[in-house]
Amino acid sequence: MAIATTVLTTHEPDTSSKVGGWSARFQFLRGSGVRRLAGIILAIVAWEVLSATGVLDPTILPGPGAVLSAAGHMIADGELQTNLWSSLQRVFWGVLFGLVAGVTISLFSGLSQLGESLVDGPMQVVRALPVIALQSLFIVWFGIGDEMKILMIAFAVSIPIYINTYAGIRGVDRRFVELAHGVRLSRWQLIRRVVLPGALPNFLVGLRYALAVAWLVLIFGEEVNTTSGIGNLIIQAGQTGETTVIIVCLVVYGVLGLLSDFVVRVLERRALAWRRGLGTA
Amino acid sequence: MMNLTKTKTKTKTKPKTKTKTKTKTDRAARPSTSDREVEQPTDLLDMFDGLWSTPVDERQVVVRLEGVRRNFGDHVVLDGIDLEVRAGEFVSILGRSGTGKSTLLRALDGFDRDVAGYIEVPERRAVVFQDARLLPWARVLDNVVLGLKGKQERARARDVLGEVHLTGHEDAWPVTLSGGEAQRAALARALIREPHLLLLDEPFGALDALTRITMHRLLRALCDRHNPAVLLVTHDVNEAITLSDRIVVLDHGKVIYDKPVALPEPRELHHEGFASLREQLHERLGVVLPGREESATDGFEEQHARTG
Repeated sequence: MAIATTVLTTHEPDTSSKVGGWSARFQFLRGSGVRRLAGIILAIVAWEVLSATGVLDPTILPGPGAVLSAAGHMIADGELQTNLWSSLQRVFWGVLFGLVAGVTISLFSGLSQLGESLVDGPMQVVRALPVIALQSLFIVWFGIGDEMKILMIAFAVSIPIYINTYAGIRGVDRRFVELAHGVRLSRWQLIRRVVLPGALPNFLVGLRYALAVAWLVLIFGEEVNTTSGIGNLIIQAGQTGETTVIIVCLVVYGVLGLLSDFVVRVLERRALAWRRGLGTA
Repeated sequence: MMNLTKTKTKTKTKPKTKTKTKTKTDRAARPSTSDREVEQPTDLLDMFDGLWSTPVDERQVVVRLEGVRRNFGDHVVLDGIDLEVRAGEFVSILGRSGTGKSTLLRALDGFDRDVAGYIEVPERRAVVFQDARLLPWARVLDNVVLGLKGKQERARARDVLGEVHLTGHEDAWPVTLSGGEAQRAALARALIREPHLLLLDEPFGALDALTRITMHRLLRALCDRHNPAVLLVTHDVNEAITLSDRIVVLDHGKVIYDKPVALPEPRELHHEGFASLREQLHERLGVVLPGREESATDGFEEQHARTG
């Protein structure tokens, strides 16, 4: 009796995209991106249909068209840009300070026994506190100006950076430390060649969390006595019942979140090329 | 012959047990150490074996261990090891799992600071582990020059990579290498340091049989060219016989066998002396074979002999 066989492929291997070229490097975005976009477009279409047919009350949830025209107005009179710019600045400084603090502390406690016993315990306690609950304290300490907002973001950012980087440093394979001894690496070379690159994947995970939490804390910070910023726009619109403006701001937040995630993903691709052996050819 | 005196280091550790002088006297009380067998020779051939293969060796002793002890809690892993290795000598250390082979190697590398006894090793030494232990985030060339600085070192690294047949892989990530390639890169990393003592901790244990044969030949060639003293820790009796000038068997932290391999080169598996030495070593290692030629490893060994 004949054994049934099946043809799995008749294609020649695809050699059209050059290895290491731009298209190959960003290929990871393509498939998933298109599919994701399709889902979003579908949701927007459904939203428009529901608004147009009057199922959705425009005072509760205005349709995409209304939101878009509101966004147009806000851009036209510069309202959106100025507020976005002040928000971006706060996030930038907050993330920068938080990064520096988180990395510094994690190096201190990851690399030395003394640092670990001094720093790690308190940090584990601090991480358990909800940042938002600290807002009142931050207001008492730093006032209601930009310092408070930036420092709150920095604080919130430093925690996931610390937790992950510290775990990364402590998780560096002992065998590599033995190797470093074998090839007589100095302490600095050990840190530079073994510990830091070994902790990098964890650090990047921390960075993703950190950026997400940065936008979150920004909203809370900007709800206190602010005359600028996306959060301020939301508060004002909430008081006057301008639902369209609120939606515009929410969309901006969403886009910012996606953008920062995208930046970290590109960073990961570059920094962790060794994991997949990319860029070898 | 190079003078190694200046490159020697004395690792004197844990004075808690015995001082150097004390161990010296201990040693003097014992019979000759160069070709010692702890148990009495069982037959005449054994005794002659020793006599024939001991021409006066004038090469400098570069590794000297006296009364080396190591215990983890109550568990004694190294129980008074005495051992000498001369420059350029290839010594294999055989032993079952848990007999302290790797512990001994780590002591010789200086990684283990809790070893008691007298240990003297060359300053310039290098280790190759069972896993190639390449830093995954560094390209092959950067792995080879790890800890070395300068343009010249990179040029030398290219040469050494050529010696281990890895030319063209300089910029590869370790993850893209096969097991054999990774282990050759690890060898290159060791050789570029021009070690006077090369410590090999079961370097071929994780490789497939065919790759292992290739690696054996490569290692022999490299050792002939660079001429370091070699200490190879292995489970594989055939590997030990094929490669070494001398074989040491450890059991329960003690040296129970230490003799030169008096077989002509190249070492053939089907050679009569090879088989009898293997049997002798198996006996020392406590391997019980059901019948002489019916062991399960025969198929492999025949193939080994043909290709090797």
